[in-house]
Amino acid sequence: MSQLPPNMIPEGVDPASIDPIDAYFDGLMTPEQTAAFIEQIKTDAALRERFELQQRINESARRSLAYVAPTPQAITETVRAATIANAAPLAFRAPAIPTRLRWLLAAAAAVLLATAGVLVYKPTGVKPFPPEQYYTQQVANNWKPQWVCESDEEFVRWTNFHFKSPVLISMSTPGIQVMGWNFAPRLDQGTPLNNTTLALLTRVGDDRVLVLMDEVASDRKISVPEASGLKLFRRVVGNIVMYELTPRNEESIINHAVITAPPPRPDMDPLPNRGPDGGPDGGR
Amino acid sequence: MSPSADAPTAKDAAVTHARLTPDQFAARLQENHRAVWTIAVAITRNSVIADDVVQDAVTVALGKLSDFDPVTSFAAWMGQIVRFVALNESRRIKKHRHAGEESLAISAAKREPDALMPELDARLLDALTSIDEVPRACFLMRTLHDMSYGEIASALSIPEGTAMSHVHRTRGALRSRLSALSPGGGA
Repeated sequence: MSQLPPNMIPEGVDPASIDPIDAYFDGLMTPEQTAAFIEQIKTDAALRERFELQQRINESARRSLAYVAPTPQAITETVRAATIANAAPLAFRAPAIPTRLRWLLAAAAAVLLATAGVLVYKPTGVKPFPPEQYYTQQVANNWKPQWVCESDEEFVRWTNFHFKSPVLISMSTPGIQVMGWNFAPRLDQGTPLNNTTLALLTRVGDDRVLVLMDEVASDRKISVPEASGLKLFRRVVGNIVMYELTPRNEESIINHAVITAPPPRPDMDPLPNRGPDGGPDGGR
Repeated sequence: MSPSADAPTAKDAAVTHARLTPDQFAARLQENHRAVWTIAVAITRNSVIADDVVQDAVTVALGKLSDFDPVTSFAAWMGQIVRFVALNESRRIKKHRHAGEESLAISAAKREPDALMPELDARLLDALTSIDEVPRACFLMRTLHDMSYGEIASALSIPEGTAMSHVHRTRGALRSRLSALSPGGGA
């Protein structure tokens, strides 16, 4: 392809070394060269086969790794939340904070500051995200919690810290496995319940069961379509509203939720020096 | 070749030696999102995880904003952070996979390639693992987003000719690996 327009070829690349298929897909051919190439494909079976395979590969890549461009608003909100997240640790504690914990601390900081009358971050409103899709995302993400409570005491400290209500679902409850917590809202997509909702990931046997929790004041009506294969159960315990999303026909987790005594020093960080996966560096 | 979307502008010049504001950071991220997302997806080969990686990388980047000189390439700087976060995430997923928990997409593709996606899609994702990370990112930037070689070079801090060479070689390598699926290849 020595006739390729040299001004379109990066410096140092020999035009003669460029495969015609690459030249075609890179738009490096003149209209005349393109027409000649199309003619050649019609008569050269081997070239046509390579060309068509490349077309299929390109289409396959676009199909299987589809990109959804975020809106400017989504980018702005993501950056705003991350800015708060980076600022939050200063108000809470000095040691290094696991990256993902910063997101939750940011949310907690926003709530505390708003309560104090200092508006740092005002959500633009609740952007609903289908709970069953949130469930599916968590499955696709390996049912991976960002924060892990390792004892009942930590669990109570966590719920009391975030929802001002010392509620416990005991880690030793037979038949259930409490995996950990995620911050439910996806800033670019919306939230399955509200902007301060946390999701508790659990397993019951082989089933993945997800519980959305928030303060009662943040409750709103949510539902899941029957076609999703999931059931939705609701309970209010103390100041916490809980929605259990489960493939099972009965609730398995929220029926074990009970109010306990408030933890000592309720305002301290519920999971000091531990990040995602329970690792000291946030699993990173 | 079109000019790089990341080329410094007159507005950027005014903030030389100053730290980007969050709004400026957001504007730069918007301009370069597809490039940094593609770096993430080139490593994770999963669109959902790539979204998470970029979101995590934003937090990391904002914490290191003082390290960034606004007159340099935002895409290259942010791309490095995304790469670092994506590699960590990949290692973590690999660890979980060994423990028996696989990404839904990856495990489904391995077990039943025809059940959830066309056979070519599953085989392509598999074949991409045989391509080195940078050539893979070059190929995906060119193919998914039609990015110019100038833009790819800027995002990955490599010469333009190298970016082109990576794309061409990756196309050829993928065709070789997937040729059994072409009409004359026995599929």
